[in-house]
Amino acid sequence: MLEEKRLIQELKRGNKEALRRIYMEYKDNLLTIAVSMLHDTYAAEDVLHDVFVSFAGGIGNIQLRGSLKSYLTASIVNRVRDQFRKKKHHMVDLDEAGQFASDSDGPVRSAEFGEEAGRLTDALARLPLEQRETIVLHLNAGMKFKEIAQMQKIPLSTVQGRYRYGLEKLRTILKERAKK
Amino acid sequence: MSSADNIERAIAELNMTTRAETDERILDDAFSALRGAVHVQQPSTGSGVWRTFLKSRIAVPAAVAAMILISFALFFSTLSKDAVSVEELCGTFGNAGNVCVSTFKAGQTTPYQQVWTSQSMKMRLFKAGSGNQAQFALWDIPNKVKMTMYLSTVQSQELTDQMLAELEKSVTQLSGISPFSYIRDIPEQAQWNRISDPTVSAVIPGSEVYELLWAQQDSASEVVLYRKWRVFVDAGANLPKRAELYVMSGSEQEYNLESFVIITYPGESEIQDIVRNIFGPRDNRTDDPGFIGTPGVRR
Repeated sequence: MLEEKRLIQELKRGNKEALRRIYMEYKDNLLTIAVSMLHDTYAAEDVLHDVFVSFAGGIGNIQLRGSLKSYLTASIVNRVRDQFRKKKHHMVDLDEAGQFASDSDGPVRSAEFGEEAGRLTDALARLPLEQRETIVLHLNAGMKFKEIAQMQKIPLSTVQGRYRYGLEKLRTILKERAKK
Repeated sequence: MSSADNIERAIAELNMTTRAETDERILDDAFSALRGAVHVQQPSTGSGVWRTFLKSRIAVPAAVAAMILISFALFFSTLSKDAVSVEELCGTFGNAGNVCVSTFKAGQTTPYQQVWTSQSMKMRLFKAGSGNQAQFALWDIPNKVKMTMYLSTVQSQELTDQMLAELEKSVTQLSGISPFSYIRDIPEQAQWNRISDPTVSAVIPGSEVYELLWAQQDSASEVVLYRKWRVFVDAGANLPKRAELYVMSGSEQEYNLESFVIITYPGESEIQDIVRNIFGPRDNRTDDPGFIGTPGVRR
């Protein structure tokens, strides 16, 4: 935490090395979260880009309430939600697009990330966004249910329910796939 | 280990790595943004006073209040009787029979998404991506069928009542052209202005330009983002022809274009041709679920 505070102070003075260290520390985990939620590697990279550019550009206004990792994770989630909102305006139901993509060789670069990763992100893409977000935040971002509830401003029991139902659905999807 | 047996562990172990060129692109742009941010933080005169005021935690509510007052003043001072209101824009757009909305990211010339809507034919076609990787989805209400195509494979399924209800729900007042689905979603403090700058309206000849401005606070931090939706409206028909979405952080001097849409109003036959080229003749589009095949080939 102290190290994070020092890095932020350095960043506010315009220290590029501090920015590079923060980026290198969190980029892969943040990308994993974005890909798992968006099921689109290129869109996920765009989200990662926007988050870091916005983070660097707005450094003068940033006052962390929690850890830097939580802040960056929340920024990723907010951007992902924006993407979903934009797509919804264009009418196509993302579940549908996700399902469609998961039925074929979707936009996640399976060759790069491995078959297992491809299978899992395909399956995740078939969950409702709320369940997907809860699972990814808990398992990939390492957030506790309580932290997720605070971030999403919903009751703890709702978070636990979304997690449980989401996992059950994932299990069903993966079993169905395994039978094929 | 089967991923169905131990999903939690499998997901927790997911680890994706950025590509070197992605790292370079992100860091380059982030360094530029950092330079700009640090530059703006240096003590200066003029706009610095306003900026310092805006950055003050106490001053944010005051700034919002001031914005509301200014927005009311601007609203009444800039809107003449000929100006188009957001409500009117929604009305004319909602009554346009056939619409195509193409969405672009800033700086790109190929749309990443296109949606054709035909009220008269009760049909909606969605295209994401381009070239061989393009994905298509068609909602053909008279034939009660939804068809999708990706990598030359066509799938169809019967449109259920639930899907039709979802479809109806997704078609909103400002579908696809604005960041807000409905007028009611527009923040109260937003201001709607007509822009009289001829260099701006020259982008789309024969159009009038309007801007919606509002502030948005990031839920995870205290950062306030300033957003702008600029729309070019056909001076005669009052129909939107182009809309642009901008963002500006507190540390930036100017709005940056994020994305834009181009809105066209094709004829029925034009939409029919597009659908036919992708999914084949209308007779092929039945409510028989599970059809998988080659587009345009009769079964």
